[in-house]
Amino acid sequence: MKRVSCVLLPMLPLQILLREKPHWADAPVAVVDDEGPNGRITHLNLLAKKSRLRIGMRQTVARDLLPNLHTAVVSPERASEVSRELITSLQTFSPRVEAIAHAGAFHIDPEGLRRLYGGYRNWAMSIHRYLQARHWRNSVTVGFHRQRALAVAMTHGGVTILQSADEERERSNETPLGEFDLPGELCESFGALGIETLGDFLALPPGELHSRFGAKASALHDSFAEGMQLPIQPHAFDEPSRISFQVDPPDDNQDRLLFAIKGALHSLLHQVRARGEAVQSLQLSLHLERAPLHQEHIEPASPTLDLMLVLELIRLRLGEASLQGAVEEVEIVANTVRARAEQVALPGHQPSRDMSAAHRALDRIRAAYGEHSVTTAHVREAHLPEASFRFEPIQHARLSDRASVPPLSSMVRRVYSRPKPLPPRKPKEPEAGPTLAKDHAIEHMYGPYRVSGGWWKRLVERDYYYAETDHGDLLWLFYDRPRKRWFLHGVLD
Amino acid sequence: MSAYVPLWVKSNHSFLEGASFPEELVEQAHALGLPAVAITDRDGVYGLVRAHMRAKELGIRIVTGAQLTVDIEGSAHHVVALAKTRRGYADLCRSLSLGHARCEKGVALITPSDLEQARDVFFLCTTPATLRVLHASHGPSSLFALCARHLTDREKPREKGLRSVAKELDVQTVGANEVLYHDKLRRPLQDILACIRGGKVLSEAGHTICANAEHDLKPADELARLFADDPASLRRTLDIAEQCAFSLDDLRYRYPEEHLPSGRSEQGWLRELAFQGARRRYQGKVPADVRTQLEREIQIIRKLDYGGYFLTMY
Repeated sequence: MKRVSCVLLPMLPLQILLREKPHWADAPVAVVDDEGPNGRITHLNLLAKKSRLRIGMRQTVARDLLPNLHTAVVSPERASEVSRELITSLQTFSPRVEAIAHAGAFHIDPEGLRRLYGGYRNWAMSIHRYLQARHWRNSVTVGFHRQRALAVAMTHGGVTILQSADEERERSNETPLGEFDLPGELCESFGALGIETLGDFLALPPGELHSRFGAKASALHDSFAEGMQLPIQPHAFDEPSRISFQVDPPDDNQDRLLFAIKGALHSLLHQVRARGEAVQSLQLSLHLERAPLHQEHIEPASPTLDLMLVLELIRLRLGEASLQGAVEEVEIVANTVRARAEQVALPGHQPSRDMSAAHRALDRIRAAYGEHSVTTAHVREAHLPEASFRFEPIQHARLSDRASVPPLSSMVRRVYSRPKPLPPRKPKEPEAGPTLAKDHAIEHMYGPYRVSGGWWKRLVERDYYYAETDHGDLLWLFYDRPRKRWFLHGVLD
Repeated sequence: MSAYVPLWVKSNHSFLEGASFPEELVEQAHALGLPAVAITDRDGVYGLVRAHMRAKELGIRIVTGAQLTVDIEGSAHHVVALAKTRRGYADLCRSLSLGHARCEKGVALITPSDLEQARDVFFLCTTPATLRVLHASHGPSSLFALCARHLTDREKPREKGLRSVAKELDVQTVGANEVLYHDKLRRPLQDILACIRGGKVLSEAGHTICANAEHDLKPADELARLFADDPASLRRTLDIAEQCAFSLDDLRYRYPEEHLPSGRSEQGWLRELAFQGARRRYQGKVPADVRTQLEREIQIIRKLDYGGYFLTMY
C-alpha cells in the first residue's frame, strides 16, 4: 500500500508570532484576526488558555479578563510566505510536497526515499529534527491515508510511523473533533449529540449529513472516504539547481579541476534527482584570476542524471578551451526538466554493468597488488556472524545474482572485521546498556538475538541488538556475556 | 497460578534430537512447579510411557502428543498434535502409522488427508502453510498458531507472517518453545546428537546445530518475559492442557473382536450360545437356579469385557 506522510506545525500563526516576538514567550499571547477592539482571537498559547480565554473571543473581552494579554495579527500574506519557506525546506526531504488547507499542515510523499534514509522512521526523524532545530514545533506521521495521517499528527507529537491502515484508522478515530477546522456552533451541535471524536463523526451516515449539518461537515466526512484519496499535488520548485565552490589556491590544471568538479557535480545531480528532475543543460562558470569570466554551456543529447556522461562532456569541452588564468571559483547551474521514472530510479535499480570493463579493472589491480589481491565474499553456513562469510580470491568477476532481483531489504549491514569494544560500564550489565562515544545516546534497542556456541573450542555467548541513536544512526551491537562487555559489530545504512 | 504448560517437548526418544530422558523432563517440570508437561516426540509417542510412569509418581499431568511431519506440496512442515481424548489419541496414532507405513524406517511423512478424520486433537501449527491446510479441513476451533521464541533473528519475521495468517483465518496463537533438553547443560550433547544426525563434525556444523542454548525447559517467569508482549498466548497453554484430558491410564487391553453373525452384538451372541448349550444339557428344561447362575456369570463377563475371549475359546 502506498505511503503518505503528514508534517504538522500546530498553530502555525502563533508559532510565527512567537518567533518574531521571542520576548513574549513567557506571557499570555493571542493571535487575532484584526487589530481593532472587535478583532477575534484565532490562536492562543497555553498561558492564555489557562486564564479562561477562548478562541473566537473578542479582543476587548479578552483584555478585560486578562489585561497583560499580548495580541497581534499574523497576516495571511505572512503565513503564506512562511508556508512557502517551509515547503522549500521540506523539498530537501522529498520532491513531492503539498501544503494543504489546514494551517501548518503539509503532505509529503515518502515513497522512494526510504532506501536513502534507511527506513521511514529515519526519514521522518530527519524532518522532525530539522524543523525542531529551527525552533518549529512539529509532528511527523507516516501513514496510508492523507486525512487520517493528518488526524494522527494532530494528537501525536514527534514521529509516528503507522504500521497498518487498521492502526491508522484506530488512532485517527480518537482525534477530538474540535481539532478540525469546523465552525464553533457546529462543534457544539455535535457535542450535544455526544459526538466528540473523529471516530464518532465518521460513524454517522453520510447521506443526511449535508442536509442536517451543512456542507462543511459533509465535506469533512467525504474527505475521509477510503476511495476519495487524491494523489499529492506537489509544489513546483522555484530555484534552478546550482552549486559553486572556491578553488584555493587558484588552479589551471584541468585534471585537478575536473576532479573537483566531479565532487560538486555529484552533489548537484543528487539535488536534481531528489526533485524528480533530470539535467537538460549545464551552465559552467569559471571565475578566473585576473581574467574575465569563462563560461561554457553543456547540453547532453537528452536529459540525464548520469554523472560520468556529464563529466565526460565537461572534460571534452575544457580540453578544447584555453583558459586565460587560474580558476579561483567554479559555479555550475543546472537547467532541469521533469525526469522519466527510470531516470530517478534509486541505486539497486540501475542498468546492468559493463563486465568486460570490470575484468580489465580487476586485471590491473591484480597486476599491481598480486594474484590474491582480488577477493569475493563466500557465504558459509554458520551462526556466528564473522564465520558466516569468507573472502576468497577470484579470477573472474561475476555479476551478482542480486542484480537481477529486487533487494529484499534496503538496509545494508556493514560488519566490522573486528568488533569494536565500547567503553566499559559499572556492574549490572547488560541491564545498564551500552555506552557510546561522547554526544551519542541510544534511543531504542531492538533484540536481543542470542548466538552461543563453540563450546568445543572457545565458548561464545553474545546477545545482539539493533540500536537507534539520537542522531538517527542504526548500530549493530552485542553484549559479550563471558567477557561482560559491549561491542559494536557493525552499522546499518 | 502457574503461567504456562510446555506444549512442544521432545525427549531422547526423538532419536538424535532430544537430549534428555522423558523422566528428566518430567522431573524438571515438576521442580519448576509446572502443572503439566506435554511429551511430543518426533513422529511418534515413544517417550510417553516412561514420562507417564514418572509423572504418576510425582503427581504431575502429562499432555499426550507428537510432533508430526506433514507433507504440503512436497515440503515438510512441523505440526504439534495433542490428543484431547482417547479417541484423539487413537486418531493421532492412526495418522502416525499411516505416515510410517509409506516411509523408510525412522521417518513418517503424513499427508493432510491422513489428518482429515482426526477428531479430538489440537493442532499447533508452526507455519502459515499448515495453518491454511488444516484450517480448510478442521476449521479454527482445533487449530492454534504456534509462536516459538528462542531469541534467534529469523524468528521475528517468521512469527509476524504466522500471526498475520492466523488473524486472517481467525485462529488463536499459542506460545511454546521447542524443548530439546531439560537443562542448558545438555546443550553440548544436543549439538553432538544433531551433528551425528546431520553427518557433520562440530567445527563444520553450521545450521545443523541450534544457534543458542534456548531449547531448555524454562521456568514460568523466564517464558513470561519472552512473551511479555503477548501473555494471552502463554495463558492459552493452560487452557489447552486442561482440555487435553487423555491419560495413558485410560488405555487398557482390548481383546480383538470376534466375527459375529450379522446383527448380533458380542454379548448377545455369547448369551444366545450359552443358553443354547444349557438347553441341550438339560434337554430343553433349564432349571431356574442354573438359569440364574448363567445370567450372573454372563453379567460378570460383560462387566469385564471378556465376551470376545469366551467366544474364541468355547
